[in-house]
Amino acid sequence: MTKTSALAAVDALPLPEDLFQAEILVRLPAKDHLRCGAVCRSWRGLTSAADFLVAHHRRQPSRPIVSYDYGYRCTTTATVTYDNDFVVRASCDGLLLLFFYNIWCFAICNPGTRQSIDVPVNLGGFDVAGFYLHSSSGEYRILGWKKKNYNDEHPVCYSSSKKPRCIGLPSILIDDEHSPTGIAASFASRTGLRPWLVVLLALMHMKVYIRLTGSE
Amino acid sequence: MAAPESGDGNNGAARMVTLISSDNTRFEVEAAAASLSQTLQLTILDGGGGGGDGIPLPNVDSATLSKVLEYCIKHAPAAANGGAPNATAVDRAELERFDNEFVNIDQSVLYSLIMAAHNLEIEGLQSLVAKKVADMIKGKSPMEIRRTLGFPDPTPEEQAEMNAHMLEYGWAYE
Repeated sequence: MTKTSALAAVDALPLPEDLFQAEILVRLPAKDHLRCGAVCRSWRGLTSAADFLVAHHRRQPSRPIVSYDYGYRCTTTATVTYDNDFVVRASCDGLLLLFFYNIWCFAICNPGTRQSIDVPVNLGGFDVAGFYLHSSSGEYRILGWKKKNYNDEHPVCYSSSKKPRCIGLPSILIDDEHSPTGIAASFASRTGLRPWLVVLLALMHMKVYIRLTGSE
Repeated sequence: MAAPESGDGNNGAARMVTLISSDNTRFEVEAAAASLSQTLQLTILDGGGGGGDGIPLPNVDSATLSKVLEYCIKHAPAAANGGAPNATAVDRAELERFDNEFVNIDQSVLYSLIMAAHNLEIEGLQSLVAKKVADMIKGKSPMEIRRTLGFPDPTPEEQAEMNAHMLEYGWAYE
């Protein structure tokens, strides 16, 4: 019996905020969860916080999200449809990392909320090694690697936020296309368009941060 | 530490414990029922709550506690059997009927119950009551949710934000 001290209630909420969130909002289906975001400002923050989204996701029933035609081609998830064929490269906390192999780009899709956002950096040529929540920064990250050239496999992976760190062999390719400035420009042109799902980019060419935030 | 006596209520005289609400009302219940509370279970296993001692519950008033115990007493036998294995379909149907009726109560009581179930860590009660409140929200528009929960009417500014949100996530309102 420890949590009653956290009585810092949201305006007019009949229960402490953390309790309301932990007990009630996580039990709502995605549609109602989104509607709750419109109820008031504090609920908007509550229902879009990353830890809430994970808790909510874990309570959702399992159901098919993606099925492939001919074992490979796919243009639609359970709730989001795309113009181009894609494959699912990775998933984490209900988010899917999609690769559109015809146009050589990635997107992150949240079938629960029917949201999708392009990964605004060219990851073509990279293989995805992982898609995960970096717990200390609260960011979703893509971990990739690339062959230095066709005859020479050099896994190059990065972690850590401020200074990308090479985990594999210390051979990093930076060309114009993948330069930090190119990424930054791409980032700036896109973030204004999508509230709620904000993509934060790393300094290096292959690292992408996704942060689930309030409406900014 | 082992229980001082076989206290799970299966052999004749069941062990009783006393719980004391915030307003000093004493409730005597079977240890097996009170042990549905994870919080109380340890105390009870340690032999507490018997005789004249009683376990004080400063966060739970007598009205809420009596409701909580009504739930615990009803659910204790099933819990002692480890839930489903021995329960017949009839027993389960009866519990379900009880649960449905149990949460057919005022909102304010529901909230008190959520707080109490949370503090006492009674998992079944927590999810039962939370599910009821969630059901009150399900399928409603943001405005209806506000009214249901007794929020004040939105300011024009809030209304504008509400509209913007509804526009952005149109599919959620279909």
